[in-house]
Amino acid sequence: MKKFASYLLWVGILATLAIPAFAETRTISWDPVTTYTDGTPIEAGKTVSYSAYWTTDPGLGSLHTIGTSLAATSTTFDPDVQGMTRGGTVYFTAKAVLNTGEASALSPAYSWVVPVVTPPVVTLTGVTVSGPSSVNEGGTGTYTATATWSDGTNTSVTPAWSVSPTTYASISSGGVLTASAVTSNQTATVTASYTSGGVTKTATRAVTIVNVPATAPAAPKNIGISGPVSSGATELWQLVWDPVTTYAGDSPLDPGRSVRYTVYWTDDPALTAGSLKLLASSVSANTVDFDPLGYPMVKNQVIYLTAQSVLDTGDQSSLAASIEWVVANAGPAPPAHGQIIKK
Amino acid sequence: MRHPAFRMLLGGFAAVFLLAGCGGGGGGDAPQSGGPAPSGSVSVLAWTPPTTYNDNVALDPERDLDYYEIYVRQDPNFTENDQPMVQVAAVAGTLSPDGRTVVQLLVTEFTLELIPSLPASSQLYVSMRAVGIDHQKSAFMAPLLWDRS
Repeated sequence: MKKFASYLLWVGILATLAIPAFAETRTISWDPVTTYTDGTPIEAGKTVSYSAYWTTDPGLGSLHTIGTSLAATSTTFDPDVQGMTRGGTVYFTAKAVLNTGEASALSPAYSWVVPVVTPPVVTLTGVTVSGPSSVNEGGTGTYTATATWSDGTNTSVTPAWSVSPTTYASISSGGVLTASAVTSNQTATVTASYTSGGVTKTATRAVTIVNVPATAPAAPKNIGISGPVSSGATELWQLVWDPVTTYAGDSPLDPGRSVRYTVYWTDDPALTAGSLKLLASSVSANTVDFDPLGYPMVKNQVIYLTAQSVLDTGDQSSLAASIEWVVANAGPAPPAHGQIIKK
Repeated sequence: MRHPAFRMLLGGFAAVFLLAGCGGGGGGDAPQSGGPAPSGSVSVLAWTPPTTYNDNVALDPERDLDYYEIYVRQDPNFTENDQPMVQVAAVAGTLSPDGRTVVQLLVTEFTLELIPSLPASSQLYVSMRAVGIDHQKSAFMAPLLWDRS
């Protein structure tokens, strides 16, 4: 029996492929095995495959497999995936295996110092701000920031937000700008400031706070209930709220405007439109007395009372924040069959 | 919650709050206390306790009523501004016939002469209101003419 190749000839590390920034692929290759150890060619019809290993032991103990049954005379590996220590020395070896099962001895160790790879330093080069160029008074707009990096990439970031002047708007840490009431269009500046790796970049964006011509009145506020204000045959309770003197944007009502109120009750805490029942309409005062029995509300029923202001122009406010009330309307019926008897 | 004073009755005496002074005497289903008994003929206001609330929900007068307010005027026009002359407990404790237990009875009568400081008039009008344990008051009972002559 002929003796199979006892070792292989290394040609070493042939190529380094850096793909992508923080990953690394290396290729090892070797000469093909074509003979037995005595120099006689391997017969036609027999095929050779290879197994490649690495180890930190120059004596080739404790082998780590890079690949087995390799038809080609090279293979690739990622030093980090293999668990090689950066800056350390590793040793490669391989063996040839015939399709008959015969295997060569391990090739002599090929030493290699695993290169120390310093991740590329990416620095912040800029910040941009995106968002609406105008926001209506009383409205909101959301702004976002994008950082530009030295490697040419862009990423969304959460910067420190500010807006100036604060009399026209405020902005949350999440970039939501809330426009204040203005009497004419005003310009505010949204600023995003972002710091990374000791580098701070800022960007600004001008935003116009738009004065919206007022049409709808503000909703009534601070609804309260008291009573009973009468405990006769009709037991009256009183609903009261702050008079509405402004439009929805908090600007004062124009001279000559008058406000009336529509009052609703419902058993739906969400105040869905379909559930609202009219308690009183066209109320000129900021109070209304009502008899729960008249609607009819049921004793101990939980209801929600809300109101809406209506301008003489017909413009209506949104519904006021409701108050919850447990109907406590029904006192006892009066004593009956009264008589005075002389005794 | 029922007024504690009305729940601590002993020995068959009904509680009476004389709001304008002190009177005395007894009368009605449950004896009354509060002052000297009037002499001679007395006028007794009698009534039927309510058994429903205003919304017609059933009411247990023994459980749900606290007291009555009795009003007196020289005309029948009782208003919310009137002040009651006296409060009468809705329920009174009285001794059982064997004298061993206290029985709760509905109060349905009150001797009007017990009311102090009555207007000096030969004709007065009397009304009353029931007050629940939740402090809700009834409407006025239909006024009654009290002929004192």
